[in-house]
Amino acid sequence: MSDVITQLSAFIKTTILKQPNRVIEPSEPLISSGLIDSFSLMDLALFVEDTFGVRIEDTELNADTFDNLTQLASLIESRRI
Amino acid sequence: MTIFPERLRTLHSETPERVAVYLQFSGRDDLPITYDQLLRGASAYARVLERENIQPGEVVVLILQHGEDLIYSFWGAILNGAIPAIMPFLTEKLSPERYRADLSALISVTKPSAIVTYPEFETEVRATLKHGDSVRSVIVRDCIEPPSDINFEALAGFIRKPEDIVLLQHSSGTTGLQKGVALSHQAVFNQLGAYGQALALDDGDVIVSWLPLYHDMGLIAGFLMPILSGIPLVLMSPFDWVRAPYKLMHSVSKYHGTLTWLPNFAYNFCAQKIRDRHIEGVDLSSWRAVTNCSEPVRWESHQAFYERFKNYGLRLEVLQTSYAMAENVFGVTQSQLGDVPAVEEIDREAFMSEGVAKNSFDGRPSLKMMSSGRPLENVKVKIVDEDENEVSERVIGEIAIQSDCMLTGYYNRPELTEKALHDGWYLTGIMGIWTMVKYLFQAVKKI
Repeated sequence: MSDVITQLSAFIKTTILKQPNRVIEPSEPLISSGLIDSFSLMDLALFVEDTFGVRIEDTELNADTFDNLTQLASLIESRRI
Repeated sequence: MTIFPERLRTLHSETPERVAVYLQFSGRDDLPITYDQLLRGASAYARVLERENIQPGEVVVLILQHGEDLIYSFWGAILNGAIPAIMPFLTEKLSPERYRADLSALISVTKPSAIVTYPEFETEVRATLKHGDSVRSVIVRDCIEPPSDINFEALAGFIRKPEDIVLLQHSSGTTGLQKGVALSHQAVFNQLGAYGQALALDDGDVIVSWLPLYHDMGLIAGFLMPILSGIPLVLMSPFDWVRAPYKLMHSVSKYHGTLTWLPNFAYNFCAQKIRDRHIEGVDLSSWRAVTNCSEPVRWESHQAFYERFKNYGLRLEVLQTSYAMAENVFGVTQSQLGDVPAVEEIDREAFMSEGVAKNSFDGRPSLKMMSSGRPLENVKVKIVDEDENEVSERVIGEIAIQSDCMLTGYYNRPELTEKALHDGWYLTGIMGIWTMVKYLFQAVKKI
């Protein structure tokens, strides 16, 4: 598992879901499943920005842009210089 | 006394080109809708309702998201004399099964004649319908004709009387959806008159809102009040706001917004989530009241909001409070604009164990209670005990209200209406307390 996915997963488990022992599969749907609600999407976007220096626009905070850890990680990689 | 269609006709004849709503969308230009466009768009929906043989006084449920269709279909139902009820749209948060159960609950009690929704949602809606239920027509957006000339004479909504029911408001969840608060034209206008007076509403005001229209705060303060008062409304989607709360500040700055309503959580959400770079150059000095309402109000949340935005032109006295409920159309109380709402520091233990608000003294744990203001001029409020006798000042009890803007009843629920209304008083089920010459404090618990 990539470093980015590990960090994203840790943040989602502890800060958003408050279930540190939960396992999130890299392909598990996050947004379309309702696992991450709209209020927490903002937290996720701010975490990505602070941690990886990559900006995700609010218009991109939906399942069409990314819906699992793998997709989010590749979005981040593609925007990192 | 007048009715909604008459008020719209007057506004339209006086200022057809005035913008009623600036509709905002994420990633798209704002869409200004003038009164003329509003009435043309609404007329197109009214004609479809007429064609579908929906009669004045019948309920039309709207299942639509933020956008022109929600606005036009709401006013279209009004122009047709039908009674609109806005149902929340299915989101990722709700499971489709749960949503279907909620919709069934609504249909079984409210007995709507028609449901308006999107073509892509029609299957979902039809799956909920049963043979022999009240719904005669599912109207999808596609069958609406383009906006065209307005023929006021042909609109059935003009035969409605001030005391007739104009709309239904529901709270969320299965129980809430089976408890539609029925409001008359007259009740809504009485509320707007009294509430507008408490706000000193005038032509210079601009209301900015992201609140959903299926909830009273959004529907009344953030939709009906501005449109029926000829005051511009800047309306964004709750879904866009939650992903980018700073857009509220941008809209206030861009349109010189003067009035906004927020639930308490939003003060914390904005204070915590908005970064400086999101609001560079934003000017909030046009805000004259941001009213905290619909959840128990917290002094700490006001402080956090003020500290976060004071460098962007926000003044502390702009942060206001109100106690409101759909059963009174909306506002019951409002804090005095221009002043900071009263705050009392009370003894925590005495409040928790005895239900009494005593002044706290040194060293003892205290609670900061922020007032929800004083009753509107047309509303009487009393605090009662279990036997419905008034309790003394500073003693906790149930809030009871009486006004000329109360609900007609819970729609098709006479037994619930009878239970809630006693000798003209509506028992709210919410605990409250009076202190300091009749400031109402809402206690943070329900009965």
